[in-house]
Amino acid sequence: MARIQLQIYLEPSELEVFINLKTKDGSQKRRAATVDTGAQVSLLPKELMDSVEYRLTERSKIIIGQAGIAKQSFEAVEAFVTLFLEDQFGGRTQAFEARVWFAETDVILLGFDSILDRAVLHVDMPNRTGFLDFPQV
Amino acid sequence: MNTPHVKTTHAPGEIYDNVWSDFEWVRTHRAELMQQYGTCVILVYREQVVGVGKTEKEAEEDAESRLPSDFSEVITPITYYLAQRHPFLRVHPTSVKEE
Repeated sequence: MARIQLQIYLEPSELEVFINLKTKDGSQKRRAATVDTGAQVSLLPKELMDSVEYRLTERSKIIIGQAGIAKQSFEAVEAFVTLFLEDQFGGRTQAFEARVWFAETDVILLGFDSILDRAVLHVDMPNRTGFLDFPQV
Repeated sequence: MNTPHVKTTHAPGEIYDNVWSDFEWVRTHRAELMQQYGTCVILVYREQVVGVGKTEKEAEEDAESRLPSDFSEVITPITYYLAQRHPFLRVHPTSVKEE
């Protein structure tokens, strides 16, 4: 089991975790991702398709209705990337494949598909601690 | 533009000595950074913003261009996406643009 400590922000409250993405040249990119329990799938900036190793899903290009708001949608490329999560205390998951959406966005969001749905999320906001437990990763 | 002196990737298992302290610095200064730079990608090295851009590539090129012309070392900044955290994405806006 891997336990990954989260970064806790206040005002506005937010949780962040460090992810490492495998790149096409065999190196890795370490980035901070927002833990988003409202995200079905993780979201990455489309620019990262230039460097991050990925394989397209069967659907590849998709249109997503944004959070149920009528007449608003965005286009994304759906793909699998290889990544692992880590923290500054040496906590680290194994590398695994996760489905993500590459889109025109300013943020990196960590969603449920392949990632949060494998984890136990613990958040203690009064004490400003939090972690993700991955029982099998 | 090539950025030979700015390295934002790492070999598997490698952790540069500035990484965690720079992420912690961003965490504690994020509100001020947001106010100063707005929504953008920033590169931070040893607790200083060394590159800013709309994309990672732009930020890397900005960092490279700021280095002295005779600079021969390689810096290993962290990459951080500064963005407004929207509290709600499910609220219907008062006006919606037709697509």
